[in-house]
Order: sequence, then C-alpha cells, then structure tokens
Amino acid sequence: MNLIVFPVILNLFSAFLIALLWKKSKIYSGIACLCFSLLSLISVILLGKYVFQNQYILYYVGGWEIPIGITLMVDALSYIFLLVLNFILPLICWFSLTYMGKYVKSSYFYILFSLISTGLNGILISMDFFNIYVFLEISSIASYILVAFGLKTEELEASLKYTMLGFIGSVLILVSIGLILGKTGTLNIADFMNIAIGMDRIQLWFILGLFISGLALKTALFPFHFWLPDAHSLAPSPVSAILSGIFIKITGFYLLIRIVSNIFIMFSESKIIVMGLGLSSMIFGALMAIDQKDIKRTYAYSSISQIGYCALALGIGGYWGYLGAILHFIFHSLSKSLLFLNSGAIEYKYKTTKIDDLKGIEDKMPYTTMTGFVGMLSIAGIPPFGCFWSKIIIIISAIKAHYYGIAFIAVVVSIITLGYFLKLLRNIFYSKDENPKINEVNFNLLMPMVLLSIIIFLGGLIFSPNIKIYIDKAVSVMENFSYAQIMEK
Amino acid sequence: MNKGMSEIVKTISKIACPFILVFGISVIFYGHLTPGGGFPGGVVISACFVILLLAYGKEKVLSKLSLIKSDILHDIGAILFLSVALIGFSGGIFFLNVFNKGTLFSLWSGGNLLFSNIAIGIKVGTSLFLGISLLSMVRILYKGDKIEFYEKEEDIK
Repeated sequence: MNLIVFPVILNLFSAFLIALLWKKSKIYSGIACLCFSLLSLISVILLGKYVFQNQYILYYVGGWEIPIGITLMVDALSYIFLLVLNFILPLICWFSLTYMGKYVKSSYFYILFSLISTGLNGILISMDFFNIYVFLEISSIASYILVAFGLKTEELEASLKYTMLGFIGSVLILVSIGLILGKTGTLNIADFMNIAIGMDRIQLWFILGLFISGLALKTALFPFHFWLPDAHSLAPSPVSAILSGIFIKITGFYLLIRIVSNIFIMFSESKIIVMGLGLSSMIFGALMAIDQKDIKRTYAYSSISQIGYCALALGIGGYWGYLGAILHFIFHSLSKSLLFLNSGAIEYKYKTTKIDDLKGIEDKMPYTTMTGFVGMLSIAGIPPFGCFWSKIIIIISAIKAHYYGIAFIAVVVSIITLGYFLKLLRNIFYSKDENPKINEVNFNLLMPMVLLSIIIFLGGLIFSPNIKIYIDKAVSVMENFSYAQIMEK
Repeated sequence: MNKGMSEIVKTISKIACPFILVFGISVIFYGHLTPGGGFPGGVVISACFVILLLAYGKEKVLSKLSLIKSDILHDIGAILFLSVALIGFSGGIFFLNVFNKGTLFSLWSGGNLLFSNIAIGIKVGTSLFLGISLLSMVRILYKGDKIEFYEKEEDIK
C-alpha cells in the first residue's frame, strides 16, 4: 500500500528538485512541476481501487505500530478530497505556465506551489494531530509567501494581514493539540478517541472550542473572515484559484468535518455552532459581494458565502446534509478555481480586474466568456451545472431536519448569488465596447478553463447512481465512522 | 578602512569558531545517542558562520561559504533527507530502517538515523545561515509603489 505516501513524496521532491536544478529556467521549472503533479494525480487514481474495496487503508510509517509511530490513513472521505485536489492542481499549474511568465522569478512560484500541494496532500492522509499541524503549517507558510508574490505594496499588506491571522489560527490549533497531548499522552487520533471517552467533559469542550475557532479562522467563516477578501483578491490569479478553490476547504473545512463528525462525536452541540457560523457567513458573504468594484473581490466574498453553505450542511447533518456538504465541496472547488482562472485570463489581456474598466469581453474573448458563464451559473445554482445539485440537496436536508427558516434563507442567498453574478455577466461580458486590440487568450490559458467547465457541466448531467455509490461511501464515513474502530481491530 | 568589529572580538571569534563548528558536527553525529540531533547541530553550525559574519563583515564569511553554495547545499540536504526515507522502500515500507543496527551505544547504532541527522544538519545549518545573512545584507526600500533591493549600504540614495 505504498501508493498512499506518493502524493506527498512526489510534490516534496518536486519542490526541492526545482530549487536545485531549474531555479533559473521559467520553462523547465513549470514543466517539472506539471509532470510531478500529474504523477501524483496518477498515484491517487491508482489508490482508489484499494480505498473503495476496504473501508479504509492504514499505513504505518517506518513499520511502527499505532501508539508509537506516525500512522497514515485514507478512507472514502479523504479520498474524494484527494481526488479533487490532485485533479485541480495540475490544471492550475498548466494555466500558470503562461500566466506566471510575466513575473521575474516565476520558477519560485512552482517551488511554493509544490510545497502547498505537499501540505494539502499531507493533511488529507495523516491520522495524527501533530502531523496534521505540521502539514497545515507547510501549506500555510507557502501560501503566505505566494499571496505577496507580486511584491506590490498592497499585496505585501494583504500578505502581512493574512500571515498574522493565519498564525493566530495555527496557534489556537497548536494549543489545543498541546492540551490533547498533555491530557491523554498521545497524538494519534485513534488512540486519543479511546482515551477521550473517560475524560472530563469541560476539558474536552475547551479543546474543541479552540479547535473550532482555529479552523474557523482558516476556513474564513463569518466573524473570522476579514483577511480573506484582501488575500484572495490581490494574490496572482492561479494562487487565488488554489487558495479559494481548495486551500480553505482542506485546511479548514475538511478538518472541521473530521473534528465535528469523526473525532469529537460525543458533542452533538458542536454541530449547532458550525451551523450558526455557516449561516452567518453565508448571508454576510453574499451581501458583501453585491457591491464590489473588483471581479476578484466579488469572487472572494462569494467564496465566504459558499463555504458557509458547506458549513451549514455539515451542521445540519444527517444523510442529506453530509451529502450536500461533500457535493458542494466538489462542485464549488471546481467552479471557484475556474472563475479565478477566468479572472486571471481577463487580467492577462486587460491588465486590470476593475469592473468599471472591463467591457464587452464577449466579442473579443468568446471562449473565456463561455467558461466564465459556466462557472458563474454553476455557483449561482442554475440547473444543468454542478452546484445546482449540491444546493438543492442542502435545502432538502434543511427541510428534512425541520429547519424551514434556514431552508428559506438558503434559497434567498442563492438568489442573491445569482443576482451579483448576473450583474457581472451583464456589465463586463455582455456589454458594448469598441476596443479592437484585445483577442482571445492562448491555448495554455484556455485549456484548463475549458476542461474545468466541461467537468462542471458533465458533473451536473451525469450525477447518476454509478457515481453516487462512491459519494455515499464518503457520507457513511461522516455518519458512522469513528476512529475508535481502528483500535478495536 | 578596517571592516568588522574590534581586534578583540576578531581574535576571540577566530579562536572560538573552529571549536563551535566541531561541536556542531558532533551534536549532529551523536544525535541518536546524546541530547541534540540534526536541528540543534545545524543551528550551532550556522551560529559559527553568523559569528564570523558579525566579527569580520560579509567578505570573509562569503569567501568560506558563499550564498550560492549554501543555497545549493540546503536543497541537497532536503533531497538527502527524502532519499533516506525513500531507501526504506527497499524493505517495503516508507522510512523503514533497513540498515543493520550495529552495536549498542556506538556511533553506528541507529541505522538510518545517522544519515537523516546529517541531512537535517546540512539543511538547517545552511538555510539558517542563508536567512540571517540575507536579512543582514540586503536592504529593501519602498519608492512609491515599487520596491528596490540593495546589496550595499553605499548604493542607497
């Protein structure tokens, strides 16, 4: 089962190999990064067969058994996250081959990109609190640098703000991990689950509270969201696509799923907290996105709103809630990466992302417009596209759990989402402008967007029982799986 | 012009530096037997170069360990550590200690621990030196919206 470590090894190896050999070359560094991320995608695809045959697969690093060594685990839930992550990363890397060419030291981008991939893959495969923290920091520190990659004053300011708040989030998580180690003497999640049953509830509540607030900072849920719009809108577009598309979902949302539904299962009240956070950030993000002057800022606020949907579905719980959370993660990751890449393509030609300066893109860049159209309508929840299914399932889950008010709010927020995206579509894509100089972007920029929009379109159409079997396995992990089962065997 | 600190500091650091370097190397090599290991040893080694940097100025220390060389070395350190982990695959498991363990309490008694300590020592020593020397040598100025880098104090106007 050595395949399980390959996503981490390949990306880590890629980072230092590029740093050693191809630091001076823009082309070779990009191609090497692309090759390694494709290899890690292949290893994840090969892993799939084993994951779905068994309930989960364990891997003892160095052959050390559970309480002593580091244990890695992949189950259906983390496998779906791994697959989406490793599918999006090569596409973003492909997009960057042309886009990052305008920066002087673009080979450094690929080094940091590989480190982010290492961290995100590592979080998904580890079954150890401290390992999770280490990989969280690897990916976070790489992302702090990437936000400031353009070295403009405002980018540095955004990066500094992001760094400070990110560190506060990391410290909250680290303190709770320290308390776990102090109280139980173990960092392995399965081992902790066995010991935690007999522990004092107030101490566990304190640990859980620190964990949830740290993760809410990383996920940018409502009261903790204020670093996100700056960081995600000022970073280079491929970086925004990573951060908004998958980074906040894995460093925050995935761990929130694990904490709320698999680790601290004795506290069903924590779901209400997550639901409240999700509901407030859903409303707030949508309201703030309406009147923004910059496309990328609109997308960033939209991310806050949509991650609120994910958290709301997680908080509602039950089969439909969990199904909605996972589906919304998948389709929103794809759509938001697509939208940020799209804004990158526009920025590449127009040199700006201000809404007032962009007009009539449809005449000059028809394919870019088409992909942007798909992404926006998908997030707004228009039927043939992916996010329609996830949103309707979230609304169904709210109704099934008798939260009629929340279901109503979810519908209203979805309409607001459609509103601000229609405003963007009308103002920048389908309007008149006589500026003949601009033409369609080249192949490297276009193909990743086209591939992503095809996946979003097909994902909405072929959401059939064949695919649902696999997602149901992930849902059953969220519903029934407890790490304590691992120790019993 | 006489660069660096006073003659007393220079003499003391000239005497102390070889010992600090050897101490750092011993901390790395005996990491699996005594307190210490790759990381503390690497920090001690980089401290040796930082003392040279403070006492003599940058020319002297860069003639011994140039920035490009330490840049290459710290990548090599990371790749070495990864390859120590990859050697485990020859026994079937990532990070497996496939070497024979030797006799207890001798230098060769930890299998791959020795190699991983050396790799971490190289990585930490060079990258800490790189970080400190870049912070002390490069000046960054904001001019409106642009940033400019200077390597010499005299270039700043």
